[in-house]
Amino acid sequence: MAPPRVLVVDDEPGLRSSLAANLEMEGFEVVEAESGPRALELVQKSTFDVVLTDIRMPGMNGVELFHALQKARPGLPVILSTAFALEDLTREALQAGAFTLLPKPSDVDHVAATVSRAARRPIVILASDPSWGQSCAAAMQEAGLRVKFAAGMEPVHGATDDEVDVCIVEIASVGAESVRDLQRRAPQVALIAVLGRGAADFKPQGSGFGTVVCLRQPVAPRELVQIVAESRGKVRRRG
Amino acid sequence: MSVSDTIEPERVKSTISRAHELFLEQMDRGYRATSRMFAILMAVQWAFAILIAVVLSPYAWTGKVHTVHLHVYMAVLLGGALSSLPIALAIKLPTAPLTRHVIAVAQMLWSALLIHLSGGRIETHFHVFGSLAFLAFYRDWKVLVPATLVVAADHLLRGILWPESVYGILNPEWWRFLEHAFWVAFEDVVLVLACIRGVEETRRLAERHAEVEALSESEKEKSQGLEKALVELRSSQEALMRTEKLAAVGQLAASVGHELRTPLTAVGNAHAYLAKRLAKDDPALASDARIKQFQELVVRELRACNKIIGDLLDYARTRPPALHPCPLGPLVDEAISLVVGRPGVTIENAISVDLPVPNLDRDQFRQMVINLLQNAVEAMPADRGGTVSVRADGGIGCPLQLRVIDDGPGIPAEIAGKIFQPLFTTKTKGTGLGLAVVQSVVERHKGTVAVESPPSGGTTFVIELPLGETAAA
Repeated sequence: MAPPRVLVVDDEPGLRSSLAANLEMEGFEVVEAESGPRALELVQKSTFDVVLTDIRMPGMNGVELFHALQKARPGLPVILSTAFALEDLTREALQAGAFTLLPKPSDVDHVAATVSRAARRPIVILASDPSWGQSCAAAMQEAGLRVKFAAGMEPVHGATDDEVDVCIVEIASVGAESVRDLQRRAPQVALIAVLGRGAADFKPQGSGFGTVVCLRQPVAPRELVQIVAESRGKVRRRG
Repeated sequence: MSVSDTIEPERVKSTISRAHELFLEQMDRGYRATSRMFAILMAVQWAFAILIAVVLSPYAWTGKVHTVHLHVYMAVLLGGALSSLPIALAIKLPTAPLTRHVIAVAQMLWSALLIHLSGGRIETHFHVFGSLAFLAFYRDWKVLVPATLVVAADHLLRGILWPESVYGILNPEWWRFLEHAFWVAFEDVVLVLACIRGVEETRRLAERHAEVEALSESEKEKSQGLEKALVELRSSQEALMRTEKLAAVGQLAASVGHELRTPLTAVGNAHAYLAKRLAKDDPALASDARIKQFQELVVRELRACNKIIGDLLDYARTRPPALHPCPLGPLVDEAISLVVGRPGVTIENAISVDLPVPNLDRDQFRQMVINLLQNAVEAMPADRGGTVSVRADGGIGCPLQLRVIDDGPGIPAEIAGKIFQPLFTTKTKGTGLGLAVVQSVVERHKGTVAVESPPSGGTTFVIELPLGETAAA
């Protein structure tokens, strides 16, 4: 299998080249671009598996580049990176389907692991009641995410699959016990537990280490897309 | 603090009782002064009686016969009998009603005696009117009653039995008694009215006085309140200036921090590359002690730089927390894994799985817990190990409490009040922002943070989150 091709976009040459060098050493094929327009140009000319872009750049910023890339190459995973806190613009990009947001500075191994995962275009599993689940699945698909949805437990059993990196479970539909079971069997999967409106009905077992996020209904589909993206940027436990 | 412009009901009540108190005081003072006056008067009358008995009465009363001895004795003995009891009472019980009634009776008997001694001289009858007027000084019309009765009884009886003694002649006209009685009654009416009016006046004055007192009291309170408000205002202005200065410094530091992050990240990346490259291409050199030492130094110092910038940015951050249900146990596990540990210091997570799930901003809250744990680890004395434990309880029906407990040396009382102030630090290497961030994160969660550090050692930070923020509603 050919190594994944990564486009690294940053206006800071030092940062760009040092990151590119590390990714190359991890086995990626890396191309550098110093601006948004240059990145678009490169993407038109050849294919990439992942784009990793800084957000704050003169001229076209990273979020604008993401939107342009979505038009030019729908489904191409774009990882945003910033030294700043989450801003409205970034939040919107995450809701629109950016793969994730990596803070600066991030450990190079973590960046490499995230890029590598993005390159595989991993699957999100969604197990919930049909009406809410369908609207969420539709929102995720529209944002270019690969989703497996079912109104029951059967997709959860597939969560141990290497292709899966996020699993959204509505506790009311699948029960807390099966979720704990999933936590044990697939610790590398980021788990998003959606709780009912009532009292706390789920307590994650042991150390979640960033892989368990709890939400409480009502959760809007776009918000869910954003949280999937955010959870993809967290450090994972090894499976 | 409440400073009202009007006199509130409670104060009105107290003013009324104060007015009554002042009234009684004033009346008492009047009784006392009048009693004293009468005590002196009694003595003077006695002396005067003896004098006129010696000098005047022989001629005024019996004419030619020298019977002075009898009158002198009478003046001495009878006068003594009349004066001594009122004088004693006036000294012992100057304000008692009994005293003034006794004085009234005695004074009127004195009139009778003086009239008798002067042989019923019509001018001596003025003593009756003068005495009644003096008695009115008591501003108690009731004393006029026994006085008047004594005068009436005396005139009536003596007028019948011994008219010379009253009227100076043996056969006074039958209406002489009525004439006298009319004038006495007339004066009584005037004096009773004067007494009543005097009492009213005293009462009014007392009320006025009490009101003035109450007003000056409330003025005093008001001015004290104003003073207090002024002090508060000044201190909050200073706090505001400090906060503004800090905010400005924070903003500046944050933008500098952002600028520094980029080159630091590049250096970190470059170092990571070099280290890996070296390990791959020249394992022998990579395992050289010096190389290893300096590689670790670069990593450590870069981490320290990033930590400082992180602290500054955490502090300067104004983003409101994004609250989601967040189980505390796993969050604390995560925080523990991110704390830079020290040999001999253990951190234990004693949070029960059954703890209710609070709503938290996961990232901010985790940073807050990391800061507390890191502080606790660093507070341990270098020569011994220690334990830091995290506990939590409550959450249902009462606020959720998170405790970070260490068995370190504790916080000296003199600095306990300052530890949450930004830029305050006791470490040689530290921004002094760790606990300031703790406080601001907790406050953004509408909670409170307190520190307990008994003199026996050990420190406990208690974070309390209100039910509204933690409730699984």
